[in-house]
Amino acid sequence: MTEVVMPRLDPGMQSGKIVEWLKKEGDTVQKGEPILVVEGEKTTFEVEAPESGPLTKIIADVGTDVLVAQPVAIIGSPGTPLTAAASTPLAEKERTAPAVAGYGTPSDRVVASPAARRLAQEYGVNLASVKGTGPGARITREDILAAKDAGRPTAQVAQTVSKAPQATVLKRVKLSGVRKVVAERLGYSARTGVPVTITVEADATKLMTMKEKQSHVGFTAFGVKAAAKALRNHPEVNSTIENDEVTTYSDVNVAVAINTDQGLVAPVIRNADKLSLQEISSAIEELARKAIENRLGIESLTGGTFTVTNLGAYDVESFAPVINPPQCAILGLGRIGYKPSAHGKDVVVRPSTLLTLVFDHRIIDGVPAAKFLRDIKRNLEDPEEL
Amino acid sequence: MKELTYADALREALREEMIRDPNVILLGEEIGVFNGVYKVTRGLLDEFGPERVRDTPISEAAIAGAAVGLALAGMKPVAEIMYMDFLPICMDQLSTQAAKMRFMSGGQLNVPMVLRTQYSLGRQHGSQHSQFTPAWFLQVPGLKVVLPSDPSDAKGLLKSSIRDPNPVLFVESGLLYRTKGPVPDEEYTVPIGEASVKKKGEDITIVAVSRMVNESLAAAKKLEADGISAEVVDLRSLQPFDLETIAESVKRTARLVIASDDVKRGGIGAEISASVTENCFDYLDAPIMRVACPDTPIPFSPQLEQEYMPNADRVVQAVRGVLGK
Repeated sequence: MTEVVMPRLDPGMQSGKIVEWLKKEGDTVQKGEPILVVEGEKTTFEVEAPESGPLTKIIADVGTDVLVAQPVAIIGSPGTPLTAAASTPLAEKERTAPAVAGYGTPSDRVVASPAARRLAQEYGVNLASVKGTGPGARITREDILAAKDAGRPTAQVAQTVSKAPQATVLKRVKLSGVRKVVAERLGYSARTGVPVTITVEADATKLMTMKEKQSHVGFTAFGVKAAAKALRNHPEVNSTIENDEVTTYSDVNVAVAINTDQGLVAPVIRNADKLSLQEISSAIEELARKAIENRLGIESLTGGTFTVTNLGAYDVESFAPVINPPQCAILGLGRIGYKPSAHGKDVVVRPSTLLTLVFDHRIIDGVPAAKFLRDIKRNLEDPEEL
Repeated sequence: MKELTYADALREALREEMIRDPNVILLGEEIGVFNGVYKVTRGLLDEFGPERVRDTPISEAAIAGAAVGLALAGMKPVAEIMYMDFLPICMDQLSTQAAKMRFMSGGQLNVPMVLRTQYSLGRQHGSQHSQFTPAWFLQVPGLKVVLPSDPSDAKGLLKSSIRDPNPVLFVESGLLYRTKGPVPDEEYTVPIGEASVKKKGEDITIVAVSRMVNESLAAAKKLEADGISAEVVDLRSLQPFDLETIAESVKRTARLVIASDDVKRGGIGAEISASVTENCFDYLDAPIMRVACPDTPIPFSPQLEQEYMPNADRVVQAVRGVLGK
């Protein structure tokens, strides 16, 4: 008997949602054969059978969210009669199974009156945390009002807001998929990190000249290459932090922020420091196409050590992006354009761009960060050397 | 303010309107020489003469048909049908003729008639003389239906009904004729289509109809002793009915019980419940409950009839069920 558990495909992954069962109970499955499809935090992937044998029990139905390492199915030993195989694991599973199978099952439905549901939403009270005192333990209006009064200051704020004139709602959408991941990860980053922002201006004269010759290479590729080259000399920036532990890497894996219909994704260009400008440019194009088609594999979404994001195409001068956790730093590229600039006592008009580095002060201090950013600036100002 | 019985308040309304408008005439069985089975028309034959107070043969179809004809010809007939159970005999005149004329003539014709009737549930009159069936007329657009519960509303609503240019079915309660209540001395009317909050409350709304208003007020008193504050709304008009007042109350109390003397299935409570659910779903804290009669013919046996009828205790029971207390 073998348990099929929710795999962790990324250090940040907390749970996965069952999208589809490719096999049904009673089917015989082969080791390595995909048996279900799971929506992880970054992508959708197929889970393979860890052993061969009859699929004796599906524990988590389609639509349920299952915590990493919790069982989703049971595969019996080859040749075991279905019934016998099913009975043993079921008994064993009783302690842990409800925690998984309980999600969204009808028996777990919160019994609350329509009025209670309306008020819970209005006051930001979590229905699941309220004990119902009405007939059949139904959560009543009074229960919500009591929960709100007993509640936290946030509930009070929500109440005040609810009494003010409300805007007309266009639609309400529950965070899910990529949007949910973006919200959770960047929210986590904003809550836990100590971000510091520094900006420098880079002379883009040579960059413009070179870009004219190689029009197919995007500015993002220049930024990635310049950062990758600088990271090689600043391993302290090429790092991640998790649970008070900083890890620095010998590989320079640069993630690139890409906008899709579903939201932001940051696929990774591995060993970017060892790739040519041309190779980086092609890699970005390839990743962007896959991202838009929602075909990014898990392998292209994990292992990033630094991130580059570019809003220059949208006329943004400069911006301070949120660090992509658990990474140490992120580089934001602004618009490249002709701007007046002081040269000694003269003003010249030349192409320039603003480079913004946001770094986590828990990992590195201001001076090493400034030195790192200065290296990026120098790399970009001398792009022939890239 | 004076004290009048429900029957005398109705009589005052008829008399005052007959004085006010010579086109108002009365017709029905036993209303003249016998002074009316329930004495609502007592003395009116003597005062206004046989031209305006007409005893008719025992033919409800003729009474209703004559009333429609009189109304179309410019009179303001107030016809009496002795028992509500006999309305099916008048149904074609009421539903097919009276209720449709104004609409079908593009407003050129009016049918300003009132059909008074009563129900005798609780008076041991048996299955065929006790029914309360106003909900039938919910399916008759064009016909107004009013059902007062106290002398003051009885007088004010009957005057409004007589003055209304449309046909009105005026449903009285046999058990209420001898009940007394204050009636204003001065001239007044009560508008059709407005409910009345008979008692303010916080925890639950009881929408009551006709006789069940008094029972619900008694229930509210009992509940009050146990710390449950019930609001009692007298529906007064069934068609059109005052959803606004009911909704305003339900939005405050979040709970609703509907009390009426009709059969529960497909009755007044069903229509009110559906309308409240459609309009106030997000304000409801509990299922809407109905206190009404069982889905059987009304028994003649006094003991069985008492068991059959809704009362204050049943309302208390329903309220407790809804509140879980």
